[in-house]
Amino acid sequence: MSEDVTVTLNDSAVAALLNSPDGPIGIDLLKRGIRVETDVKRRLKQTGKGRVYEKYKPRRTHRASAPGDAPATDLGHLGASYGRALGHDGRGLFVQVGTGLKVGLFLEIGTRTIDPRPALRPALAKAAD
Amino acid sequence: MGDLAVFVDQVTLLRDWLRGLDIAGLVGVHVWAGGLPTTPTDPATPAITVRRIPGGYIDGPLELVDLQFDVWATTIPVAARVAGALTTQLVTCGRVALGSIDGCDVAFIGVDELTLASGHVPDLSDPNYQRYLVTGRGVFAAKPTP
Repeated sequence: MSEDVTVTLNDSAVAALLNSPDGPIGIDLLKRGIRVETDVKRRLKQTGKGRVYEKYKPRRTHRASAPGDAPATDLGHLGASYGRALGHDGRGLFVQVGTGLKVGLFLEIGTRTIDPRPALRPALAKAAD
Repeated sequence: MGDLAVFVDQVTLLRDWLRGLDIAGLVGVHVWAGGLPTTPTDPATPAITVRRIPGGYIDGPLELVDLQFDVWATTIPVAARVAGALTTQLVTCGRVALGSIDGCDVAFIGVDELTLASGHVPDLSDPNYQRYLVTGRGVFAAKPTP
């Protein structure tokens, strides 16, 4: 005995599922973004293992990060600048995590003369594992 | 005995392999592990630097290593061309015997395409250099040398 089963997708419901920021996919993406952001901030709060600097305004001693480690927090500006946002483009919903501070990019990937101090990529990799 | 995952310095072996490929017919042997050499102060370009960044894990006989490649050139089109050729090589190389180190035969199995990211990033420290960044998770296998 056999029976034919016809499945009809509700196109508008599927579109809402895939594209609505308030739907389960949007909420899940946002949760993942928060997880990555939190992990980045945790990495930035770790004490550095690199060189020690005497700094001013305010006067303080700062131990920088060692090459390869996440940047060590000084006044906390970089950590505070990290955020996440849910967005939508031609491919659908996405979540982005990052900082608007240029120094964050150049610490993350290094420069010709400065070794990288990644914080975002390890957090992304950990979230994906 | 089967394959074993062993911590070895894969990056220098990878550098040596890339040096032999003359990426894009432009790079020749100008491939460096870590950063660009500091002497001379203006190293030849186009050049590629490769380094390990935090992340990755061991999965049975495989070690998955997060890698950062930087392509350095004096113009953006050249940097982009070399980065494209490098990416193709990393994805399509198949299993490559890199050589022996620390008593282990090390093979490179390529970069996981899903993890690849690349883009042009100007260099803050020297406006004369253009840079293309390629990152990805490299897959290596190591087993004791017979």
